[in-house]
Amino acid sequence: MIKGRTGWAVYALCFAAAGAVLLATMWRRELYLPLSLLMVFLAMLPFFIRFERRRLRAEELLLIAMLGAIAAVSRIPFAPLPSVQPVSFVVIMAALVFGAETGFLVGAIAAIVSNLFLGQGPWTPWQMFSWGMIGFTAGLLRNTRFMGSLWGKNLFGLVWGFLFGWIMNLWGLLGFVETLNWQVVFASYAASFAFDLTHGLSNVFFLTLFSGIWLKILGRVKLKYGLLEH
Amino acid sequence: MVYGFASLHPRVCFLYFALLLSFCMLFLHPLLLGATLAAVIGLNLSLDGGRALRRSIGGYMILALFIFIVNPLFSSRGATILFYVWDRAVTLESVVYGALFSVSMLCLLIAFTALNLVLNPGKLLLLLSPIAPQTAFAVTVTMRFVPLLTRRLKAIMTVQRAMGYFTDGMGRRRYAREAMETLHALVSWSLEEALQTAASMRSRGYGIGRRSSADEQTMDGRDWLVCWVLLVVGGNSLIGRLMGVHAYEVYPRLEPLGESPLGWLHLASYLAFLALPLIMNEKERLHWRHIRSNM
Amino acid sequence: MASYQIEHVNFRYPGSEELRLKDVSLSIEEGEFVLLCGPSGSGKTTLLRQLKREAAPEGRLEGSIRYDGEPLDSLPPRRSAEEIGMVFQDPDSQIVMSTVWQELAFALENLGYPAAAIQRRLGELVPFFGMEGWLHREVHELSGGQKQLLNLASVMSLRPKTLLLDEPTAQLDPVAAREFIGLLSRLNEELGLTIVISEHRFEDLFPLASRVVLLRDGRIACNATPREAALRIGGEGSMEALRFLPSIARMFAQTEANGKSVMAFEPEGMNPQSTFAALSSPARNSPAADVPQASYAEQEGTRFSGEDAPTAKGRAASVPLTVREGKAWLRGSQDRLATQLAFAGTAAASGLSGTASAAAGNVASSVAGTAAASGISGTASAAAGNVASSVAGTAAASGSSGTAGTAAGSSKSNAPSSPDAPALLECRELVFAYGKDEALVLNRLSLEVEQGQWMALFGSNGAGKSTLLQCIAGALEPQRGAISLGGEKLGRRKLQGGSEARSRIGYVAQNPLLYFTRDTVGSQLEDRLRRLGLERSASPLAELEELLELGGLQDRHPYDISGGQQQKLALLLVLLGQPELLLLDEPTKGLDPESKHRLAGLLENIRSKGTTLLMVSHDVEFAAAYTDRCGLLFDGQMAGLQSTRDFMKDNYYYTTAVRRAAGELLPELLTLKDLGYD
Repeated sequence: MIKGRTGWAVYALCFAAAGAVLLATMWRRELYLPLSLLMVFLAMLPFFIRFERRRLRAEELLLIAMLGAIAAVSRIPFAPLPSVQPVSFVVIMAALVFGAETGFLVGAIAAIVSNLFLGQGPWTPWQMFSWGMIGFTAGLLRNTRFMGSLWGKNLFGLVWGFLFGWIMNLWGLLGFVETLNWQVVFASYAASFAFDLTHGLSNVFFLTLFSGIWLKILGRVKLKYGLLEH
Repeated sequence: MVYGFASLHPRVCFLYFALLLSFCMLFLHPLLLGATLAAVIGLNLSLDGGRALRRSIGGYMILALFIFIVNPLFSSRGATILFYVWDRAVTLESVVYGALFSVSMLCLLIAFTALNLVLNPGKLLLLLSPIAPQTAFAVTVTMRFVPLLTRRLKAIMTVQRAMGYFTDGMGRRRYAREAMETLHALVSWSLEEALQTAASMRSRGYGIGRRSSADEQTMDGRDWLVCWVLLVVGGNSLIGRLMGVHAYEVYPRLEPLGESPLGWLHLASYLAFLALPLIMNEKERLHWRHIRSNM
Repeated sequence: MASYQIEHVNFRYPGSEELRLKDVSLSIEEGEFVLLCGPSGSGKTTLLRQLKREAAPEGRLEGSIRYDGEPLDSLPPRRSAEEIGMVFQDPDSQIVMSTVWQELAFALENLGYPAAAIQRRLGELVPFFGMEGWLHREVHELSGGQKQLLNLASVMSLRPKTLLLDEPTAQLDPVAAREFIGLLSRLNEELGLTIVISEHRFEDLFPLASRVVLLRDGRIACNATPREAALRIGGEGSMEALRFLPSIARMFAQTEANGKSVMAFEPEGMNPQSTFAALSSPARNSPAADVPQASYAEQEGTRFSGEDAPTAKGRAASVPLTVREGKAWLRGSQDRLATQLAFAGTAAASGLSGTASAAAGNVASSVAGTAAASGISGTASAAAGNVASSVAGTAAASGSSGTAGTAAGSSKSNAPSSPDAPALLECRELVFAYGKDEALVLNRLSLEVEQGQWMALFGSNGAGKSTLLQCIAGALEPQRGAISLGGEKLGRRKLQGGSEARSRIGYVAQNPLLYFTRDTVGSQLEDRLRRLGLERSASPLAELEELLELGGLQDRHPYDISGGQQQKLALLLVLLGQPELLLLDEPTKGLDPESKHRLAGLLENIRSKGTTLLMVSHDVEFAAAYTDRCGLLFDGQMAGLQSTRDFMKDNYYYTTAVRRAAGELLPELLTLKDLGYD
């Protein structure tokens, strides 16, 4: 959990730097690709800095690793349904029970690890960032009325289905198109619309049917691991 | 390959790929792009005979084709009009621009294929562990769990099939529900088992103090030599590019491909950079062939 | 210097009033090899974990545990981690790193050793464990046995002085288990390591241990050298305790107890001492056993019932523990056992009617002894000396455990199975491979199982046992061949909509956790009923719950009930489908002998209701005692399918320890049941 002024300061500083880089890409189009990568790295930096500074009990480390691995393999039983992927759902559940930072780490590590098995690509940092952010935002909102209701959760899942696709578009299409006008942006998002909608709807499907069971399963784990917040 | 390019210290390999990937993103000059494309394909061939590349090249080509087509559709800049599509002018310049972009993306993706062959997960973690030891450790543990969980998932699915829950003809929604049941069994089981893992970790001293690292490969003489060569030729190429050498202008009219003396120097150092791993690998291949023919 | 000094330890888990350890006092000397045995839930694991601070469960501890003279709690963390090593049951859940090499270095890295020192230690460790060949492999490529070896090696990298092992071979196949145990014996003998191990696979461990501690309900029930323990447990005659002896020692102990009761009534009869004198080879003592044994007999020997210490020691020395010693002892008491064998055979064959009494007149006394030894009908009938009543006693003895008795009967009667019995399951020329370029796992395998049979299939790892079961269960599809049930051919999975012939087959996997997807036992059962389309009242749920003793668990989490209950719950879930054929994948793996006995009773019960059983197993003793037919899978084919008796008699390696000891001396002796020992 984010604690103290320095914690927030680190986040603020890194996000500000990331924003500055984002602006820089507007001026130097030809440097867009390397600079955007730099931006993503900066945005993820505070999470990893804080993770490195924590002294983790064996249980805490294993929880993150196990949830990350579960998210990474969660697609296997769904193999015959190519468009359905429960990774985001698993990350949201982890974040709702264990908090924003754990949520981020689970998402980011799941992305790293599945790419370590499938091969890295220029998309790796973006995927880390997207899944990490799904976890982070879900964790930040977890004690709100909004996330407490099923409607809220579903809306959250649906919105992130699209956001995920949009962020992933940032590395590819936008990096390799010469003029950034609204037409291009609209076209690229229209191209991925069907895909993003499936993602969002499968999130809704999972959240509606299974979030209750998952909250119970993970809540029990939280108790057993001695991770209750005081 | 025993002592080819891939046998260099991971840090040197990483430096090479960091430079190569930034060149893929920075160069738009047709000559340099062409050289890069040839070099990354050559690198893949010399690493594993192109097996990994053959597996993924299809997808890459579709992506590249997409970018090649999209650009002229949305941009009508340029002086040389080729034809009209839906009242929009398609210019030679924007077609060329799209082609250059798509080649640049191909280079990037193919360079990544080579990177995955050289820097396997173990080496990547070795690179990460001095900078972020805890993250590297967490990633290693996660990697260890992935095959384990995959095996568990299969065991659970076997039981579900035997109980008649999974049948191939069932609808998508029902299938998704059953697959989720598989995950439920996996999550409860694996997180419960992890408590055992925690006890085992603690029993072996985890959490007592700062972990050391058993894998401390040092850079040998050859590593340093290659490193210096890389810094000279790679640095020269990078700085040259940032100073504007080989910055290729498409608009308003295609720039002719003339070379200044400075450009020749820049090109030479870039070609040396690209050729370095190929030379190392070929040298080894010739060496082995020589040994075999003398045996 | 004692390694551990455990004094009056009581322990209870949080939120529970029940004491899991009751007044446990135990002193473990340096260099000892202590075997902890006892039924599941007797507190073995709880006790063992108390000895390792990092693995100790939460709860309230009374009494004191001292390590090397110091209270265990005040041991510096570093010393505790380095000096006391612990290996757990499941090979998979202990490994944290991706490669063998990383895992070996893990413990040393935790303690901050520099790279050079780690390299140095591993250079010595790896050859000792013979791991050079797989040092750079990824851990998921290893077999279960190799994984457990890796866990041991990783613990040994810290050079501990004491090694604690919690059922380390429970999940391994017999070959890997023997290799692991062999390594433990080397560590104990060559490095003088103190070893405390809890294990159900005591056949191999008994001869190695310097001391056996039997736990029962959280109390120490017996604490003695293996041979003394065998004598003492035999003398007590409690069936539950007897099951914790290796079968050779148990055969001796029970026969020996008979001999004593024979003596009581016929003073001129066989003198037990002379039986021991007849032992041709002196009993072997493991070198490690010598040191503590002396001190032991002094304090423990006097407690021997009605005997003075030297006699007890002398007697103990003659207790056979291994097949070799058993053979020697059998040669001395061949005649006595032969008559007993003949008589027990007739008694069992005559279906417990007790009419065999006349024929058995001359061995009446020994039969009486049997009854007494099995401790069920009590000594009263034996003392009466009346032939008929003592036979009845035997009958009661084997019959009172119900199912076991009938099992003994059936395993005798079925020898040549009637050729006209209808085959329930028929597999014809099954061919299976996991992938295009992979080896054939099943290679034109054919198999028939008759209605009402209990069949066991053996085979080494990778022989295709589990694959065969999964093909029959419909979880895998053979590339060629046909499977039919009751004459009806089982359709391909793709074509059949869900439930028809396949639902008449139940499959019980090895690990019950694979079945649990809900957070309470009750909802898990509800889910199963709903899928089967059964109403609770119309289902056999209540009946099965009673049979499996699973009532009152509705609100518990499936992970919070005991391992035995979990196994029974998985069985219950499968049985709710009312299968005609029940497939069992290594049902006895990791079970203690008492649970095995209860499981056998249960399965017998299920079979008596008309379900046919087909199991794959490594457990020769279990199959020999309970099944009708046995087969050996080898290289993807059926290499032998015979009645259990013929199978065990024909086999040289794959047969019971008693058979290996008795061999040509008593060719009819396969299991202790043949002697009427239940």
